[in-house]
Amino acid sequence: MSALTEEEQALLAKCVAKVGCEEPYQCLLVPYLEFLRSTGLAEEQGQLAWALLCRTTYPWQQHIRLATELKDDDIWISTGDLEVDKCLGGGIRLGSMVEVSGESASGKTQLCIQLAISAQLPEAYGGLDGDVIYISTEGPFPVNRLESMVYPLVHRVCGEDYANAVDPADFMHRIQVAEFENMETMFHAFDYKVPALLSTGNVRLMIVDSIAAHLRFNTSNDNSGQSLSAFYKERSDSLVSMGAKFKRWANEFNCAFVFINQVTDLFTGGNGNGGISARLRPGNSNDSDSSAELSSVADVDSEFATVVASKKAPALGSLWSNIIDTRIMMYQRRGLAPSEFRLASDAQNNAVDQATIEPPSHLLRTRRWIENVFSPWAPNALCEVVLDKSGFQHITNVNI
Amino acid sequence: MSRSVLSLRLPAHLQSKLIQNGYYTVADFDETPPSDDLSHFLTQSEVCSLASAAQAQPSARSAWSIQQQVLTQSYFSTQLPQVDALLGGRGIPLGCITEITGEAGSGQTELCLRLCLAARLPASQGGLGANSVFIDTVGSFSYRGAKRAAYRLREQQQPERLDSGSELSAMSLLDGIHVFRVYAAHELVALLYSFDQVASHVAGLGLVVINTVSWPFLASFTSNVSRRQAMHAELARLLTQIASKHKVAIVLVSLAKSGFGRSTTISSSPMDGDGWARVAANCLSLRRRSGGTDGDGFDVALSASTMHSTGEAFVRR
Repeated sequence: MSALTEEEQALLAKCVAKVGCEEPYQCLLVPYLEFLRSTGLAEEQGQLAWALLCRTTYPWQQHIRLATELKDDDIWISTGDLEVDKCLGGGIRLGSMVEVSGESASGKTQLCIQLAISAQLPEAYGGLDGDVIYISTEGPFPVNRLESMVYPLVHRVCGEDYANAVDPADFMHRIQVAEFENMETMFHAFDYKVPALLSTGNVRLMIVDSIAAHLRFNTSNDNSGQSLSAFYKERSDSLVSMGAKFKRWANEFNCAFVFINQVTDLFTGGNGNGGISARLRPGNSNDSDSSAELSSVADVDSEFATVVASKKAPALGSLWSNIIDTRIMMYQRRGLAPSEFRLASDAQNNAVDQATIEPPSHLLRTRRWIENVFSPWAPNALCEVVLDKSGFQHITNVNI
Repeated sequence: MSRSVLSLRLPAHLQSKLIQNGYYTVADFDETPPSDDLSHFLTQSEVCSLASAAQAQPSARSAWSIQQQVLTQSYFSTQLPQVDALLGGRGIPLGCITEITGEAGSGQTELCLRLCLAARLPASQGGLGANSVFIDTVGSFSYRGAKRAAYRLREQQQPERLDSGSELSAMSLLDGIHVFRVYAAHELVALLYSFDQVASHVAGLGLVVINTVSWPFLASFTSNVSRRQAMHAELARLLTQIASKHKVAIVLVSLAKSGFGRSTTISSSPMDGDGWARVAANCLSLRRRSGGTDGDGFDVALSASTMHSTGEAFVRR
């Protein structure tokens, strides 16, 4: 980019001063006519100044890329299993924000530990020879699970010779763990410590286990009567500014961000569409039928209604769902296997649930699935997996 | 009857100066020689801009001439027959804005990619043979995803020929997509104000997609909702100008949040309200549906349109 002439610099400085901001790019954040008014520039001079601002803020010639030129930008971290990778569209893509969600004990942390090891493997084995940051907010970091997974996973992915040649301690060294007890310290780390670690340039994967722990409920020390709506507003703002930061870093530092999320009860209304199914006391509502739809959980008055939750959905709401790129859900269930068993189906509320028919207990086992719920680059897909010492791998035989 | 000063395209401070000094209509200052009374309170350059604004006459056109323009308007097929049917049987119109809204995971990116590819198809297949600009504000564009979309489109069109010939032609569809990655509102503004230059660089441009148009403003004006809405209006105006000046279709993806309501079909509501719907010729609403009697697919609804009546369709995956 050519350097600015003195004239141009003076013009920019004048704009900044008149508009009352700190940086030239912020002048573009006011409507054009307001810009003209604040700077007092005439139409022609104003156009020149505006064009100069646009040119310096976003020189489009440097940013335009053909779709076919972006092939080399598509870099993926393997999960360590080819079928699971295929289900996810290739694994975990660098530059993306991925959410891993599911009920507790569904294997979210296990999957992330597996990714943390896999990311360190050489490229030949689907890794990126990268460092990992692991942010832990739900209790102590499971260091024993990590240690016991290294050898079996490396053995499975890379073969016996390679596995015997590497030292598990090396894998532990390259994972930086930070533990945070509340929202303030976590966000403080996001502002300072995390970019410092990322700027070393070697980090390829950052895992936040979990993003929901401090954001679902008000865990801050200052409980001075902050109202619920104020809490949600603050949370929304935090999620948005955090999301904007991470999106930029993911691209700038060429790494992937994986966020573990909890699930919350989703109340379904009579039309299966999202609402609250409530049984009201007779005579208490204008509706002639017994179900009514309320606009939010906060409207439910426990004296007057019992609410029935029949589905689970990832926490943090639709704002967070719009910030992430990809959502992965993990399921586990004890049961027999009919050949199709979608837990995420939108089954009718009144349909007979297959699980209510109890199979003989000696034939029961825990079955697990990983689902690619949505992603900008891969279709919805489900993969049944087994969990053993080496982590998750796809199931090869269906045991009935 | 002379035009009021307030209807002239002038900066607001200039208008108020004129009114404060007793000039309410164009006739008031047309009478006097320009350099006389006006120079008491206006600078020379302000007087000149005043003269040029007064001379620019807004014209009225007959409804017939507008209809002629609309009839010769170009469209391109979405290559999804159900969606084309919703859009009057013709597809996405050029020179207009189309808004696509839907919750996360409702297929917005996939539809955007498909539209870029569809625009590139030759006219004989319902396309424009035109290039497209994909403005990615959230990091949704990937080579692999675009390649998949190209293969799916080719498969759909020529299901019997899945050989290397069709691979080549799938890849040639990708050639026409020019991608910009922007991270914040100021970058989007800068890019769009430079659009004249972009359009002459990317010759034969037919489609501009912004995926998503909501995010940069949400990120740059996190808590200041009124500022955000003011910028939406500014951008809406700019995009309308770009669409008609360059005769391109502009597709805006806006974010939606889940709504709770009695609607039996699509129940999400746009996060930006009707900010984009006000300038859009068509508003499409997307929702994913799986596991029902129709199988897996997407519900597409035309929720608002200046051209067609509203309707809904189901597109099977």
